[in-house]
Amino acid sequence: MVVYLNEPIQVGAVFKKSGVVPRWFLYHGKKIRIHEVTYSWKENIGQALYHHFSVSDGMNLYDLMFQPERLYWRLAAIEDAAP
Amino acid sequence: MTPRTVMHLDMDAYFASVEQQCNPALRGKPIAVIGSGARTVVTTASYEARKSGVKTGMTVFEVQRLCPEIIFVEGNNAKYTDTCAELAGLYRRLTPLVEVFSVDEAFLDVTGSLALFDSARAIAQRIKAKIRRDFGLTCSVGIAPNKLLAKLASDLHKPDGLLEIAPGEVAAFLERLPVSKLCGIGEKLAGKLSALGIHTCGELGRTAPGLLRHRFGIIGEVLHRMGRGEDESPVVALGSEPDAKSIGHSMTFSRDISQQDILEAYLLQLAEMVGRRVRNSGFLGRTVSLTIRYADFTTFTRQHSLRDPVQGSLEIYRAAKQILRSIRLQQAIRLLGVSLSKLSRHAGQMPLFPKEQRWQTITRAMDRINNKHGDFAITWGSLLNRYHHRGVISPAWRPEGVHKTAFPNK
Repeated sequence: MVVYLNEPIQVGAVFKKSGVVPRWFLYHGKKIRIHEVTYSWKENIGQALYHHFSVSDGMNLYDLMFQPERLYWRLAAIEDAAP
Repeated sequence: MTPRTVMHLDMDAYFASVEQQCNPALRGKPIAVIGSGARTVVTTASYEARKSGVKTGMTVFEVQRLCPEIIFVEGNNAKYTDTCAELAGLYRRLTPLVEVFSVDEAFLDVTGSLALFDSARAIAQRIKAKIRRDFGLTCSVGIAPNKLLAKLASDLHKPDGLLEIAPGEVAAFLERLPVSKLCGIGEKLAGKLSALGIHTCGELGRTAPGLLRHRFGIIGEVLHRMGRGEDESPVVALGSEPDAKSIGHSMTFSRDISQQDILEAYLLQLAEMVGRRVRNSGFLGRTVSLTIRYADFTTFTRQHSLRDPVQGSLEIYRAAKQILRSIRLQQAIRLLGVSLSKLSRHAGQMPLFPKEQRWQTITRAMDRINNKHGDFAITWGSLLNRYHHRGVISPAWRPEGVHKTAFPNK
């Protein structure tokens, strides 16, 4: 089940030549290490561009959202990886 | 005339494959991508689900009966449309002649690129490898001298296929192929051809054009040429498409509605969605159409032509409301659609009177705010409780231009 959150979070990410790769994020004081970035896509809401990263910690799937203009991250949604 | 080399790329079980890539736990399992509404149907099934007979358009109930272990995944249109735009960018690095045919299909005319690469097959292999590496997805590719045959070739080798029909092989390839395999010949038409004793493309190509014209009218000639594997339609590059003929939106409700006031509120919402796209594209339109689908799926469209072309949401709404009020509804309504056609780019008459000038100023201000902050950031008070639906990706959707629509996620 997908739970939509849209909460601001702190993210540790590497900005590579090929793009941004999130490595970990802090959620409710807990550091969650990212095992795999499974997919990424962009979304426009008005003029604002959001980069979405579907990431897995091995247990759950998270939809992290990065806004490059204002440089903030949000946890858009959490989903149980195993349906 | 130099023979063309056309490629057709078809993403395999596109939406389902994207979801399986997103969630590793779904890989190798039967999944069906569905909409968010209560009365949704399957938009794409994974190949694992297709083995059990699951098909696009089936209801959740039908699918569960066929495949009890099915996993339903709610689709995310922003994911699919953005991936499509990325793929179009990838293709355009190989040839400028890229026609996005739908969100999961594209035609490429690579005739001019052959001098840069070993062969069309080498280009196709490069694309397939790049899509697999960057997106984790597979596609099927058909290569042929025209669009008709390229699409046929990609359809015949799925998933992850690559089939080339060389110009000299066309006649032999089509000789025993059933006519229903050709894009554009559906079950009904194939049945009519069968009644004439025409079952294969070879037979269709040998049938006198006059006979086909007599039986099928203007498309008779086209059918004859299709049977011979001939198609001169060009690959229309992104951005060079002819102007839109109409701009419209529709919504399927989560329950059937018969109350006039609720229907009219949804009409205003649809009119605003249409109006914004019309204004952002610089069009005006003269004919407003209202499409109604009853609970029993009976569907019809009524039109109203205005004296002057319009682009304001209110004018579109008033015309649509007038049509709705003129109809004696027989049943509750399942789907409502509004569109504007007879489009032109004429500037139209400037508003002369203060009231109309004020409306134009208000509309422009609202558009600027909504363009910046997203659809319905500012809207009519009566739309505060508007219908929230994510919509479906129309077959006319394109990654650029007037047919590009946004799909906000929640």
